[in-house]
Amino acid sequence: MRILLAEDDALLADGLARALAHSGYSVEIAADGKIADHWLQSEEFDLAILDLGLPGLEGSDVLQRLRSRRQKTPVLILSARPAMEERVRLLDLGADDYIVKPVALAELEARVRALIRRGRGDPDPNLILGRLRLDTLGKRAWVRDAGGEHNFELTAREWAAIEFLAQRVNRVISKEQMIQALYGWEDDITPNAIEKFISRLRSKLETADVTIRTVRGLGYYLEKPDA
Amino acid sequence: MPDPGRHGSLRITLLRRLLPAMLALLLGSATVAYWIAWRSATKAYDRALADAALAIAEQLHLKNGEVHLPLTQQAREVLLTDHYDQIFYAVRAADGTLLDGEHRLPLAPETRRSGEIRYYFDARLDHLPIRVAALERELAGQKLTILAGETMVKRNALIREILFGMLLPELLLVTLSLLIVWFGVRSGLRPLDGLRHELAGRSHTDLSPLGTDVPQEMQPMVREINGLLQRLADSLDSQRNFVADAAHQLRTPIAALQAQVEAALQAAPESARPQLNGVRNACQRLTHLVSQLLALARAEPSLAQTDPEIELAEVIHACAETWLPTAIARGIDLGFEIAPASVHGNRLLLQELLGNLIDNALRHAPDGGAVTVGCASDTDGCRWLTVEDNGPGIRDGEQDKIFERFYRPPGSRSDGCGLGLAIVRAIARQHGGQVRVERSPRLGGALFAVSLPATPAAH
Repeated sequence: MRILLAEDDALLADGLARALAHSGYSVEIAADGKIADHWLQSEEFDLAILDLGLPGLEGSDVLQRLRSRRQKTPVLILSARPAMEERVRLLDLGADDYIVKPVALAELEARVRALIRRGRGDPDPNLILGRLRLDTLGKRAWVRDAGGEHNFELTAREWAAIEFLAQRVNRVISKEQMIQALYGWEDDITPNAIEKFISRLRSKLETADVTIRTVRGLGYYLEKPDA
Repeated sequence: MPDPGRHGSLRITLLRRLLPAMLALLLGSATVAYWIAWRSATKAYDRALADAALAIAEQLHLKNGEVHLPLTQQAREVLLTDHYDQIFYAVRAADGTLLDGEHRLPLAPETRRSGEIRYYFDARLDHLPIRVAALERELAGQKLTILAGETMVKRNALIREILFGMLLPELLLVTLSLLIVWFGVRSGLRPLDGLRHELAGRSHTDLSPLGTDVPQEMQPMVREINGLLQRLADSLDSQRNFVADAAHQLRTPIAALQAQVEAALQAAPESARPQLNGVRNACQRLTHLVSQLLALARAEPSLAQTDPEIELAEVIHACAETWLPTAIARGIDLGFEIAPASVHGNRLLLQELLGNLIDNALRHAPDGGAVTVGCASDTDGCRWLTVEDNGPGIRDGEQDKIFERFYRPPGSRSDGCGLGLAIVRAIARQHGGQVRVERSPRLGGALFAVSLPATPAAH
């Protein structure tokens, strides 16, 4: 897995490169925008991490040239500026993700993994929650224990609820959103009914180490599982 | 505030200068008027008096070498009667001997006899001031002086009349002028009052120029004030830009530090991990400080862009997702009480405000504790954002200090940088609102309440 890291701060580039190398990636460092542009043109990379303030050629220009050559290499922008407008502009230019310095390594690696997977065009159909694996293609759940993986029985509505939550980890889902996702507009479902349903689902999922939390006053919340 | 009395009112100063000048003018014109009146009265009545003397002179005859004045009683009365004054006459020889008439009527003193045929002088008759007309005549080689005198009643009356006729209007004029000055100053100063109101009604972040719709005389002052405001805004801007730039510039080296530490942690033997973890924690605090500095720099400029209408519930929702992982990790029950409330303002800044309050509450709540975030609107059109916790609360005497930059209560063991609440206050003020802290009645810890007007403060 080859990554081009275009970053002019030698210490930062070295630290990131060593950490990524530790995780099994092979990292090339370009300290200049022109060099990065040249390498992207002449060699194959699975991902480019571009700093915005590069000498020679700005990170956003490197990105623009890359996209104007119709190269599909995923690009992760590294910026010191957290401004929202900047983020939107870069995503419009064709960046795949945007991360603000300083960056925690765990987060960088998570995004790198996701981008490389997306770049290969085979998004992982599996959602992992605790000891639970959700096969979104086969619409089936599996639970892992000492003896291997077993089928985890879920009703259609339970499946819909857990899939809806799993696609929205770290987001607060209001009761209204939940009702709409599970029942559509057809039925008159009271908040009380949804509470009972979630309560049953919660005790069922506890056996698989998955916790649906109630956020007092707001709704439900599924925490991001540890990687 | 300088003592206004010491500098004097413009009105008093103006009057103090105008009043003596006008009184001097009044006095001068009175003197001139008196002189003119006196002269006119004297001239007219002198001529009449001389006519009387002439009429007497016409009647003089010589009889046996003796001067004789054959006046009938009736003629005497016609000659000597006047409505207001007493008239006297005398005919005297050159040596002063009285030939006929009133013996108390004196000859003119030597100095007054100018050698003319006719002259006038002032004299006294039994201490009564009188005016005398004298006529020199020669009758049969004998030099005679015919004197006609009268009291001053009608002369004085005329002088008085002329004097009052001229002075009264002038006095009126002076009074009127002073009144006009008194009220004129007030109406003239009205634009200044308007300016004062405009300045007094401003928020501390509003450095926009003053309106130039003021009288010409005030234009230079308004221009100078606007120039000063502009320079102030520029210098504040450059200060803010400096803080923002510095914070940006700090990010890359901190990122390098963090990346190096994390890379080192991956490869480090177990024995070196505690130190490296310490370095990483310090690095994270540094990161937090830098982003807080940036937030404060962003929070302070005047309300540049505002979103049309923001539901506080949405602001809370966004913050909830940011802070729930922290709360869950520490077993803190982070709950919400949401009522409909919308404000005009800047969404990102309001999220920054609430995020800092929640961060603060989570830092002070014990593990397994509770934090409640709420929003509401009251009947006065005021919107509320509240965050309360069950931590130790804020000690008495600290309620104001905690909003100061870099202030950290004595004995505080949290690793906050001391900027969070300063950011909260800056953003609240920028939205025309306020923040206060009290004891939470339900949870027992601190209750931070931010009040925001539904519409932004008028600038």
